Parts: sequence; structure tokens; C-alpha cells
Amino acid sequence: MKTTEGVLLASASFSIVTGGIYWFTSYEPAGTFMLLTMAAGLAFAACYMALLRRRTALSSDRRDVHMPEAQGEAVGVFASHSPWPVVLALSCAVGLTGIVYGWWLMAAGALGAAGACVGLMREDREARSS
Amino acid sequence: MTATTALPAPRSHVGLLGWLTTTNHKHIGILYMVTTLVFFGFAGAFAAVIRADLMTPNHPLVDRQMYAELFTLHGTAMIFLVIAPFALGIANYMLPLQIGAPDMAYPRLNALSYWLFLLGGLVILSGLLTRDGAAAAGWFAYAPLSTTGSQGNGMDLWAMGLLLASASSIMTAINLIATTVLYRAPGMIMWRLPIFCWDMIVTSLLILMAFPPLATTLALILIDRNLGGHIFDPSHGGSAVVYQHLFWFFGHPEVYIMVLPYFGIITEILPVFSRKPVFGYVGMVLSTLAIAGLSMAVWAHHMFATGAVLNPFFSAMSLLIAVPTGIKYINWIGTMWKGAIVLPTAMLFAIGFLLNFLLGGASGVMVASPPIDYWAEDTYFIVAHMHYVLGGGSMFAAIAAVFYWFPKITGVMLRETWGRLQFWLMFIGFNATFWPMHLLGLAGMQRRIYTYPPLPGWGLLNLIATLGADLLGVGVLLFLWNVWVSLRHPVPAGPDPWGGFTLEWATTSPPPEFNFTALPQIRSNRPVFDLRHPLADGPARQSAAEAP
Amino acid sequence: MPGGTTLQAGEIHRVWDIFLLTATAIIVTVYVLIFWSIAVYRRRGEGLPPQFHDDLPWEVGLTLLPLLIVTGLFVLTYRAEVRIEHVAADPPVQIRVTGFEWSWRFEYAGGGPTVTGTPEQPPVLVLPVHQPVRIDITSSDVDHAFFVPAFLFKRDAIPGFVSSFQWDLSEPGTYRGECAEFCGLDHAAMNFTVSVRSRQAFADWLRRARAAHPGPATALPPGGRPATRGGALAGPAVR
Repeated sequence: MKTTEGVLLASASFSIVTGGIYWFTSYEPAGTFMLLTMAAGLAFAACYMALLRRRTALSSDRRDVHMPEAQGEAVGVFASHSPWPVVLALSCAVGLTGIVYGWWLMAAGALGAAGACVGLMREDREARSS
Repeated sequence: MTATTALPAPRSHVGLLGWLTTTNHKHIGILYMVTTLVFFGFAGAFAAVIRADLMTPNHPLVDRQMYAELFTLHGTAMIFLVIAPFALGIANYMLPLQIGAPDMAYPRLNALSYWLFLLGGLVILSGLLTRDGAAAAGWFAYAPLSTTGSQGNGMDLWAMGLLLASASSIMTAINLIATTVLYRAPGMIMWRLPIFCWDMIVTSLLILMAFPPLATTLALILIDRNLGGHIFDPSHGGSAVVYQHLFWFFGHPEVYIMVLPYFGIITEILPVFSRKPVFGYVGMVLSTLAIAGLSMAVWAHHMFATGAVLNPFFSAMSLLIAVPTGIKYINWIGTMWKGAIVLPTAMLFAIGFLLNFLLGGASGVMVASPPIDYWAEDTYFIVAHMHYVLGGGSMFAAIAAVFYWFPKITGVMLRETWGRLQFWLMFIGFNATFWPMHLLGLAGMQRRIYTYPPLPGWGLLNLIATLGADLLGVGVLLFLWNVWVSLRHPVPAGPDPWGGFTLEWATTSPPPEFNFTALPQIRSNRPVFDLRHPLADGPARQSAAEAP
Repeated sequence: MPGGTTLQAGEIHRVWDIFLLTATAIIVTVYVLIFWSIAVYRRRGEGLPPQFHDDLPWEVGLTLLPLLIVTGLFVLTYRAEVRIEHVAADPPVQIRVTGFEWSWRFEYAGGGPTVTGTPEQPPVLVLPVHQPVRIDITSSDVDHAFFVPAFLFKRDAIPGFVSSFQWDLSEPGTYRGECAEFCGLDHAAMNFTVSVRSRQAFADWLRRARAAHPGPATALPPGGRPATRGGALAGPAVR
């Protein structure tokens, strides 16, 4: 995790430096803005990683761990099947085409998407309670 | 490794409903790969018509409108629906296996990504069914041509379909990064990750930085076209130059998104078939990061000929990218050097990649120089450059990946004789198609013209290119034949037909639902090799020597 | 002779020659190494080859060498570009070039003439040899690009933006010009001709042209903003 944080931090630093050089050599606003907002995004992610690292210790990050030590660790909750992703995708696709084919399509898409999101949340709740 | 909790399953896990509701990364990976193959068929067919149209001077086979739709959809499909998603599909399948994880971090998000990708592609292509035809402003859809200069719904469907595909890519990027950060097997520290995984993480970071500007640009196009916007309309205070900045800030990282995964694939294949560890592991990681970082700072080299950008800044940055790319070549050669090389089809295509991509990289360095770019920009020289890196490069690496990992995914070997024949047809066909285009471009043939006059050399070079493309097509058909024959009369592969190095070869072919029943100890970037050769020299022994 | 048509083309061609030489040297070296590896280091039997995976001196050295090479290439590029981009303070011939769907308009400063083309009748840009010519280029609708292959040069024509460049023509002759930025249906037909003449011949032409068409352009050619049909990028409704 320290490595990931380092990568994000290095990328953010590179972006700030490049954005700065770009502004002072070109005074071109579009490129400067994009480079600096990119730096901000990467810095934000780096900060999050730093905070996450403080409260997480992964056996993945231990150089000399032996497999029997890590046995029995709860890895996570993994869905095995769900109908909601395809429903959500269809709703988004249909809804988006409403821009040219009629606003009622957007409404239908929004409804479908809302329903799919509710379905996903209920699935999640069921999994955590079982 | 135990204790994975499955959500309650619906009544049917098999058949069509099973595929529609799957969240398993292996199934989703297969869905991606098969879908990209179908889109590749469409995009390739469009290219075949283009090449037939250009075979001889003043002899177009399609009208100007159709031609514009063909090259727009060919580019759009190859870039957004084939090369990038195929890499994400392979990553979907292989990354969790290579890091020793049971699935991706967010399986349902993963499924959503796939369906958005499929639907996005269908929405883009559905433009062909509309009254006024599909998008016809080129794959980069410069405004104002794409806004005030294009009527009909095809252009809107293009933007909407791409918005869906963009969302799909962003979600997959999030998933890949989260999976790698959180679900590596015990002992799989970041500096022991297979280089393919490193390249996929960096690709994912690039996606996160590049696709939001694209999505913004697409939304702005839709606003200009449908909601009375004038953002890119100079006659109402907008700017056509800003469109190019926005687009290429995405567009340049996009080409590295289409290449870095394939660098990773080559870096998986060369060590196994040279029987040596990857040379310069740290250099490989650092060079990938350098390429990604620099790629965000070079976008306006696509705008050298506008006179609207600071050319020297972008020229310097673009020339610099050659350095980390050179490091990769040095490390690839170092991997093969003094090795014990065998040449199955996967290795042939990997070497083909090395030979082809170098030419594409060289022409890229040339046009990183604005003086040369003033000559070559928007000519067939650029068409040659881009196809050498994406076709001779990424496509060849994609085929190498298929021959390498097909046994793992299906449990069955592909036929080597058909594979070799396919390689030679494609290598010769590819070079015959695109090498003449360097000369065509320097002779002045510009891009995106549906026919051309009989100027000296233009006819002959175009004819050779068309014949080469036909050969290339035969090679692709041969591949389909190979897959059919190999599945029809299967030769079982077993868990590790190649003597592989990385964790995917430590489980069955194909792997069980949550991938591993047991994991070997991980002390280097090649844990399966270490398992089979516990006394050998290499990274594991070095790691043990360095341990406290 | 390639690169002999303008001073700027000469600069471009010199840069090209050096890049080509460098690229060829690198490609040949890498190809030789790859073919050597495949030919010589083949698997014979079950034993493992030496498992080396690092060599810091080689790696550092072969990082610094490409860095040196690209630095040299950049310096060469930058110098040439400064010379190519140079625009004289008050050049004797100044022409405003406007691209439109689907031809070109040339407006000569200082009293005209204005030359407007059509796809069926491509316009001719008459220029004098051995005199700096400044061209200010823009578009009245979508992006186009003004490309003369024999001059190894193009510049984009972007609506709402004017870009200037200079040509110092060295070689009289007639040269083909094209549009090099996809701009719609008749992009392939948006050609023009550059006619480079002796200074005397140019002066004669200018005098005659001004007498025939005095003054700068009054209006865009008919249908300058094209009426389009459907998703197609159709031609102007009226010509």
C-alpha cells in the first residue's frame, strides 16, 4: 500500500510541476487547468491511500509471510450472480438516447436505473446479514 | 485461503440467463474478449471496403458519405471497442489470477462495465441504421464539423455510445486498482507483481485521468448539438481550438491506454519462452510510470500544425517518451539474451510485436519534431505510424496473448501449424499494407480522401497496400478456423503447458469458481517457477539473501 | 529536388535527414540483437540458462544514451523550428487565405485581388520567387488545412483563429495544393495550385489581376455556410 501511495504522490507532484511549467511558458488556460486539476485528483487519491494505510495491515504486503499464517483470513464478500448490472446498463443506454429520441425515454431510463440501484443495495444488505 | 461469502444465487446460473447475470471475472473476461472479436470483425470489414475503394486511382467503390462513415466507424470501433476493451478483458480474466485473488474487488460493478461497453458499442453502430447515416466526422470528431457541420442522429448516437463506453472503462479502472491494492495474495508485495499487473494498474490510472475529459467533451458536443450550446462555435464566441485541447488531453493518454497493457503481455511471454526472469524489473515499472506521466503532458503534439500551441514544450515532452520506451526494449532484449528460447506461435507474435512496434515508435519520434510534422501531419505517414504501433504492436500482442492464455481459459491447446501460418500471413500482410503508406504520406497523399488522382507512385503504393490488407484478412480468418478446429477436436492443455512463471499456472485450466484451492509461497515475481525450480538462481534467491 | 522549393522546406528536409539516419541506426541495431537472440540462444535440453535479471551499469548507460540522443534531436528541432516560424516584420507580399467548404479564397493585401475557387475550378495562388510571402490563414466554417506537399508544409485553417507563417520561395514552378483536415463531403476535392513565378512575372500578374478585380473581397462565395442534408455533409445549396 505504501507503494501505491508513493505512485499517486509522485504522479501528483509531476502534474503540479508540469502544470506550473506549462503555465509559465505558454499562458494557455485550457491545458494548465487540465494539468492542475489532474494533480489535485491524484493528490486527493494519495491522501486517501495514506489514511487507509494507517488502519489496514495486509498480509499481501508482508515480504516473508508463510501461507499457513494467513490461512482462514476473511478475504471479502464476492457476489456470484446478479441481474441488476445488465438492467442498470440497459436503463442508462435507453435513457441517454432520450436526448435525441424523446425525453420520455430519459424518464424510463431513470426509473430503470433507480430500480436497479435499489436492487443492488438490497442484494448487498442481504449478503452482509447472512 | 478460505472464507469467501457468496451472495444468494438466482434460480438459474446456466444458459443465457447465467451469462446475463454473471459477476465472475472469468466469465466477464470471456464476454469482453468474444465481444471485441465481433467488433473487430465489423471494424475490419469497414477497413476492407476502404482499402478496396482506394485500390486504384479515381476508382472509388463507395460514395463520399459512405466513405466518411466507414473511416469514422473503423477508427472509433478499433480504438474504443476493440483494442482497449480487449486489454481490459484479458486483465479481467488474468489480473485476479496473477495476484492470487478470488475475483475482482467489485464483481457487480465489473458486470456493469461489460454491459455498458456492449451497449455503448451497439449505440455507436446503430447510427448506420438511421436515416441520415452514422457519425461521419472522423474518430476525433473535431468541432465545429461534428457540431454545426453534421446533421442527423448518427453523430449524437456516436457521442452517447461513447459516453456509455467511457463510463465502462472508468469503472473497470477503479475495479482493477482496488483489486490490486486490496486482494493480493499473502507475500505478493507490489514489487513482486507480474509486470502485466503493473502495466494494468498504470493503464487504469491513465484511464481515470483521461476519460473524464473525454466524457466532458462528449457531453459538450451533445449540448452544442441538441441544447443550444455554442461552446465550440466561434461565430458565437466559442472556440474550435479548445475542442482540440480537450479532446487530445484525452486522446493522447488513450493511445498509451491502448499500448501499455500490451507491453505487459509481451513482458509476460518473453521470459517464459526464454526461460529467464524478466530483465530489469524495476526499470520496467519505472519506465511504465514515466511513459504514463509524460503521456499526460504531450497532447498538443496532435496540434502542431494549428499554430495555436507552444510547440517546443510538447516537442520536448514527446521526444522524452522515447527514453522510457527504449528502456523497455533494452529490458526485453536483455530477457531474451543468453536465454533458452523456443518459438511457439505466442512467441512468434511477441517477436513480431518487437519488430513492428519499433518502426511505429521511430515514426512517432519523427513526428514529435514539429518541422517534420508540418510535412507529415494528416497524411498517410501518420496512418502508417498509428497502425504500426496499434496494429503491428497492440494487435500482434493481443494475438500473442490469445495463443498464450487460450489453454488456461479453455483447457485446450490451439493448433500450432495453423498458428504459424497465421503469423507469417499476418506479418507479411501487415507490413505490405502499412509500410508503403510511409512513402504515400511523404509523397503528399492526405488522410480521409475517398479517392485520389493518378499522381506518380500513388496508384502502385495503394495497390500494394490493398493486397497486403487482403493477406492480413486471410490471416484473421485462419485464426477463426484455428479456434473452431481446436475446440472441435480438443487437445487437453493441463494446468501449465508452457512452464509458466506466474500464479495463473498454479491452478487448473480453466480455474475453478474462486480460482485457487491452494497457493504456492510467494517470494519473487515468478512464484510458479520458484515452485518448480526451488534451487534455481534468480529473483527469489536474491530476495532470500536480502531478507532480514 | 526534395526540400528545394522554399527555404523552410530546406530546413524541414535537413531535420528529416538527421532523424531518418538516427532512426535507421537504432532500428538496425535492435533488429540485429533480436535476430541474433532468436538464432543463437535456442533451447537445447532441459537445463536452465543463466538466470541473470539485472545489470545496473548497462541499464543506467542505456538510459543515459537515449536521453542524450533525444536531447540532441530536440536542440536540432528547436533551432530549425525557430527559423521556419520566423515571420518578417513587413513582408512585401501578404495574403489572407480562408478555407471554406469546399475550396479556398486568397485575398492579397494592399489592394487585392481576391481569388476564390470551387471544387470544379480550383484556385491558383500566384507567388513571387525570392521574396518573403506571409500567409494569414483561417476558416469561415469548419477546420481545414492548407497543405502544399512540395513545400513539405501545412498549416491548419481554424474558424475563429488566424495563424500566420512565411514562405521564402526558391524555385519557380507549379505545385499541387490540398486540404489536409477532414472537413466534410468534398474534402478530397478541396485542391488548389501554387504558381511560383519570377518577380517580374508576378508583378505583371498582380497589375493585371488588380485591374480586373479591384479591391478586397466583398462577400463569401454563395453558400459559404453549407446547407446540409441529413447526416450527410452535403455541398452548398447554391453555387
